[in-house]
Amino acid sequence: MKDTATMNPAKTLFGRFQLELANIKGDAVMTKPADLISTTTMLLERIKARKLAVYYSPLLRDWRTEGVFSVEKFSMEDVYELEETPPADFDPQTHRDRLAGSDVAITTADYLLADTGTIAFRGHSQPSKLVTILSPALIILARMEQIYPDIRALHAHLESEGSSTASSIAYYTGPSRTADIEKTLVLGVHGPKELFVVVVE
Amino acid sequence: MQSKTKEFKKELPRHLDNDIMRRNIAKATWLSMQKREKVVTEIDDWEARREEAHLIKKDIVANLFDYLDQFEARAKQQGIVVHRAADAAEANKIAEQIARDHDVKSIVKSKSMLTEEIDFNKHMIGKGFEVIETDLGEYILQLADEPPSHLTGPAVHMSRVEIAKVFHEQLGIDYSEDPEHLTITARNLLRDKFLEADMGVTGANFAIIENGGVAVVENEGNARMCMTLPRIHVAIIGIERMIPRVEDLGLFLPLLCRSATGQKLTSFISMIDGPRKPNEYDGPESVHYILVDNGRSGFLEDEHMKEALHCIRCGACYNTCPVYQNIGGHAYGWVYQGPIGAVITPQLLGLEAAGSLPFASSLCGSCSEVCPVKIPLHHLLLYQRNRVVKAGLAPSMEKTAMNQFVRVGKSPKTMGRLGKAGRFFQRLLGKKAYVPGWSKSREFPEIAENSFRKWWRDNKNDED
Ligand code: SF4
Repeated sequence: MKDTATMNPAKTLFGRFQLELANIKGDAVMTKPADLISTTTMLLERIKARKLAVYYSPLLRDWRTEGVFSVEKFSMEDVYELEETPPADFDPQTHRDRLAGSDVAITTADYLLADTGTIAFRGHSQPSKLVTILSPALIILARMEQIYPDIRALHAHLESEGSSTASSIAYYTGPSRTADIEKTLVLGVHGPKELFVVVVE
Repeated sequence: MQSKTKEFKKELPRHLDNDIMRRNIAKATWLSMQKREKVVTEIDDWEARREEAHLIKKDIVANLFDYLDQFEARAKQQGIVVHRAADAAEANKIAEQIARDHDVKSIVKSKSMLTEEIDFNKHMIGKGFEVIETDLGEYILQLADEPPSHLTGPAVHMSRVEIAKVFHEQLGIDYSEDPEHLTITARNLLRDKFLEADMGVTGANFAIIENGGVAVVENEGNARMCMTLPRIHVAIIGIERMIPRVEDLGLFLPLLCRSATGQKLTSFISMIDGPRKPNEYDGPESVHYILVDNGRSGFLEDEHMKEALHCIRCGACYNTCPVYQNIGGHAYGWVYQGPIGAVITPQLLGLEAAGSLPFASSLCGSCSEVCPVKIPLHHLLLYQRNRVVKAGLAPSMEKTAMNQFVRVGKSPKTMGRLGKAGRFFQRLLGKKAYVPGWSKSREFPEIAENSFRKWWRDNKNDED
């Protein structure tokens, strides 16, 4: 039992998260901060992404200054970049069209739940809800310390923070799925069909 | 939804003879129960959680209208427009008015039993609006022009062959029985509808009193789209859907998801949190709640029936019910089916219209055991039977039979005579009794050689 005793509890939580997400047909990988970009690039290649939508949350902002998601670099057809607030000349119709036309979206999660393989987003913490629902593939980035054991633990934490009342939360637990035709599982009926979570150590 | 509960008995043989439907339902309910079992047994304090949920719901129901006022006040603080509807007609009128005020032409909606209950689609389509169901199961049913037959899997009664035919005939696509292909076809068609729609309509799984939010539970992502894409979002909410705090979702979501589909959590759980804010990219311009009573407050006057308002619509009682497994959802004749349907439908539609439903149960108690909020379903079924009988609405054949039985049972002499007569005829005819209808699927038991009373007289001293 020496192994478990010395094991980093956060890594144990990640192990559980990864397993649970795999059970419901999602994928989670752990990466070092320095490898974040190469890991994400690998996923984009795996998805064969041509059109990318990316929301620059604080975690992602640094990347942009380095020009990580430049059109040239990925030889993407389109990279739709969302800032923390819409630009002055914002056009809702173009926004929707570009998101609906993208084949992958990248954004960050607010919390992960190990016990169920769940990704949680605080309402209004992300300026666009459509980023996480319209593309057929989704890459979610999160930090190790954002993983909670389960939904009750998260809510207890929010309560202790005093932010529970004000908050609204969305939970994603695996890709979009249906079993409406003879109980046969089909993924990606409306929302994302592929779901990747990259957890930064 | 048009109710056919009055024809329950007459229609039963038709459903029992529908082998395709029965096979599909048997398979679906069996699979669901297997999956549920696996994820429920892994929770050590499942029983304690059921109890906790039961007590929370009990408190909600006991103070329903006070809580409703609080919920409404908080929702308004979030910028949500709140309407109250006493009945189905009023709810539909309000929805229609919202649509007119905002110059709405097309409506996309997600699965909601309450909208079935109030016949929302029929009303709105009748007024010239386009209404599209976007949950795959509901979309199939809309194309097939059939009502749902289950809470969580509305099209479980249909086989892939039937679905393939509907898609082929209604959408003009090449015939295919491949679920993946059919799903992608629906996805593409519905995506266009989503992007065009002016108004999104959803139901509500949990209305949260402390912040006026509403949680919507689903697997496809269509509900999330209905609440985010169109300009207008209308949530149609049963007044009993409330829970006190956001934190209580930690209790109720696992109870619901694990009981309903055997998932630990469903793929998407979204919360309504008001219209789009100035610094946001998307979200509806205006969000409305329609809080619908439609007979629910009637439950409050009855100490027993009150508990039926705890229901979180997981469908586990359907899946475990031997009667539902055999007759399917349509047999019940209205939106709510299975054990909970048999309890609440007579309350909502009246004992006269739906008095037969509580008798569609073997009272095995399995429903009460699986119910995540501990509704004593089989007691309520019995209670409803009682009310039906007291109201003088018991089926006349049964009434006569029961009255005779009471007469016979009360008099040892008559009982003895009848037994003798039975044994005599059994010997004489050399076969068992035949009771029309009843004997079709059962054998009448052989009448014993001797009566129990005789056996007792002969044997009672043996033990001494
Ligand atoms: S009565 Fe209980 S088991 Fe049946 S649907 Fe409602 S919550 Fe689920």
